Amino acid sequence: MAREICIELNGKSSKFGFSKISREKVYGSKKTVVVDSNNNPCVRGSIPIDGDVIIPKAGTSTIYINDNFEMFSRRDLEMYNTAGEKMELLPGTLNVEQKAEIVDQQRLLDHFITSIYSLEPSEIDDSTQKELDEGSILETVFNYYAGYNISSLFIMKTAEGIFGLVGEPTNFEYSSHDVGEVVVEEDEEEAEFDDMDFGML
Amino acid sequence: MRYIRLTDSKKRDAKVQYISPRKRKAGSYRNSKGEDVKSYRFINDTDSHNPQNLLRLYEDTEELAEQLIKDDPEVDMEKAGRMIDSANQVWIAEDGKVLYSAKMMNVVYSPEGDVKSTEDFEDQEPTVMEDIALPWTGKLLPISAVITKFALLRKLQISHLDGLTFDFLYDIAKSLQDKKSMLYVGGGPAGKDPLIFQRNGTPLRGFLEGRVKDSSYLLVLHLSNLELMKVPE
Repeated sequence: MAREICIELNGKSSKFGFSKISREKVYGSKKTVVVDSNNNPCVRGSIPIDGDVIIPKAGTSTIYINDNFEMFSRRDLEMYNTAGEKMELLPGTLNVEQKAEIVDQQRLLDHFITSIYSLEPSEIDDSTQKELDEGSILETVFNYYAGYNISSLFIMKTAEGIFGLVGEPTNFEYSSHDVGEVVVEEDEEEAEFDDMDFGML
Repeated sequence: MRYIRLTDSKKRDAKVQYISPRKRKAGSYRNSKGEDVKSYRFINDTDSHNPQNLLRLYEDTEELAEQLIKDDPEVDMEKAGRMIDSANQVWIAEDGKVLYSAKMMNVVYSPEGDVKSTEDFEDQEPTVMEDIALPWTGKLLPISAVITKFALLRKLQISHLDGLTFDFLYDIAKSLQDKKSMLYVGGGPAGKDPLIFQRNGTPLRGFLEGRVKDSSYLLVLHLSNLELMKVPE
């Protein structure tokens, strides 16, 4: 069964097939390669500090071990946050209906975008279609795979079609300028030269 | 602290700072007993034992296949499993030798993944620097048009350094909010060049958004290198 983004807006279900959009797929790409004297491409490798071996790309593995040098598979490990609390593993959201709501433009602007998908509805409710046609932005939660963090998915329709933008909050805060308490004389007076004690300088 | 020099509609410029979004604090892994575990890198393959080099050693692939079944020529018994602390990056030529002088080329690929052209690599200098003012382009675009046309991938918060630059940025933010628009921001004298924040960095287009609330402001430079468009089938 193909994986789909399933949402529920105002009690009505809709489903979307999706495909990832990247700059490479839209415009092509430019890559910098390192070549030898015959212009043949070279591969990246590494030499450890001992200098006795050349390790090719992907020539190392990451292993999790404890203080007793016991090895653990990543799938057997649990994530703890910086406060030392165990984090809950959140399941993937694909093929599982997620609640969606209509949000304003600012909500989308307050997120940086990590992935973009082109959406094709396989089943869309009339009222959801109408909202998208009228330019509404829908927000739901998104997790491609099970993980410890969940992202926001913004669904909107443009002249090109329906898109899903996966975002993370910027958490930017308004800037203000507080110079602290400033002593202000109630009445502005004309400065007098007598007030300026040059002797104390 | 990173700086940017912006220009307002009155063609006055000022040095201000920019801040990236705060990343989520990463957690740490523990085993089922709640004990801390740490990740370490170990060698699993060395250049002398990788498939390309083994093919070079055995002219007859059948002979290599037999050796692979009989022994373990693909495993460097002395080095595999050794912990790596720090390592230096090197480039390895086709013949397995380490390059002492690297030459870089740019390869341009089409959206289908075909090589369109190759060209000599040239450093791309940044267009965003604290001593070069980005011009006020005057190109104001409705916010709804920008968010439906471009993927606003990266965001930078523009913030003041002192009381004078507070007033400078507050006024820009207020004028953008009043006009319900975003200002197109580009590099170069006319603002037509892309924004490049560091040498050989990603070229981006910028859109400045402003909001004010009481005596505070929020000025965000939204950055994009991708239009929202369907990929041709």
